[in-house]
Amino acid sequence: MGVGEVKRDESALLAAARSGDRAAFGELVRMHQDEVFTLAVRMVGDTHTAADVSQEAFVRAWRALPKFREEARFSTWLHRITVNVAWSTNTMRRRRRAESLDELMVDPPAPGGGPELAGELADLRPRLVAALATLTPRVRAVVVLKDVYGWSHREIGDRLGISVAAAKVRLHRGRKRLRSTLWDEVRDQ
Amino acid sequence: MRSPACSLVESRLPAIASGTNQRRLVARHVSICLRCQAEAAKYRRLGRQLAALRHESLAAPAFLAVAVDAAIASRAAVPEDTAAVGAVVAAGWAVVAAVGTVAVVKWVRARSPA
Repeated sequence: MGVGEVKRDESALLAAARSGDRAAFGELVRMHQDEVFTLAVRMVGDTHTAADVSQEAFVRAWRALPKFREEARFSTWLHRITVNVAWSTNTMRRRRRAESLDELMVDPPAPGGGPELAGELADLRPRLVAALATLTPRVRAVVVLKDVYGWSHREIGDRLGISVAAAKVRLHRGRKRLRSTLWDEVRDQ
Repeated sequence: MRSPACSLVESRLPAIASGTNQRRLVARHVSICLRCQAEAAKYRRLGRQLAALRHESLAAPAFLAVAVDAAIASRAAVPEDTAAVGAVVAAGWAVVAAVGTVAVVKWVRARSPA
């Protein structure tokens, strides 16, 4: 199936879902559930909470579907909703870090970017993911949205309800903390 | 050896992770300082690795789609526009009922002897 065909299918499913077709929306959920779940895991730091966040994000998407005008891609719109839900999830701040470190190791990496980067990732990836989990939720959210998902500082500020300056400060702190965790640990070993 | 310039530049190196720190002062110092070159390389590597996480896809729980559908059904979660139409219709009926009640009361009062 080509990209165009997928888009056509998605548009047809969106049109059907907008008119109340839950089966069509279920298809959309299956098409996007992995990317939504991945974003949720990165934001909240554990798979159990991420599953709840993903579910709530899709329910909110269903409710808001009539407002979706396809000015942005459906996946982009879903990402924004997921970030909102993750951000407002109280358990995000109360999670127990010790548990999440193991859970974050789920699934082997499937990196893009060529064999050199793949090798580099295979080496550092588990420690990088564990290091991300040690960041505070507020700092981690900014690092994930900026450095993993490529959002602008302005988008991050708008979505998280913080200033651009605050987003930059948190990013700076997050990177310093990650750098220290990753390479100072190596030196200590 | 860590110099005062190293300390100054070090605080600005995290921005290198996304390639945004192009300030001349930083670039000039890094170009001649092996220590800061190594530090800058770590931040570039960190940036590459974080960006590479974007290509990963974690498998959602198998029950997610079913759970979403059940949640929608249990909350009777209709799309908001549909809900809005329902609210408008309900409000309309309430207005009709109120006007009808007032009309009936007036009619009864008008017919009853003073």
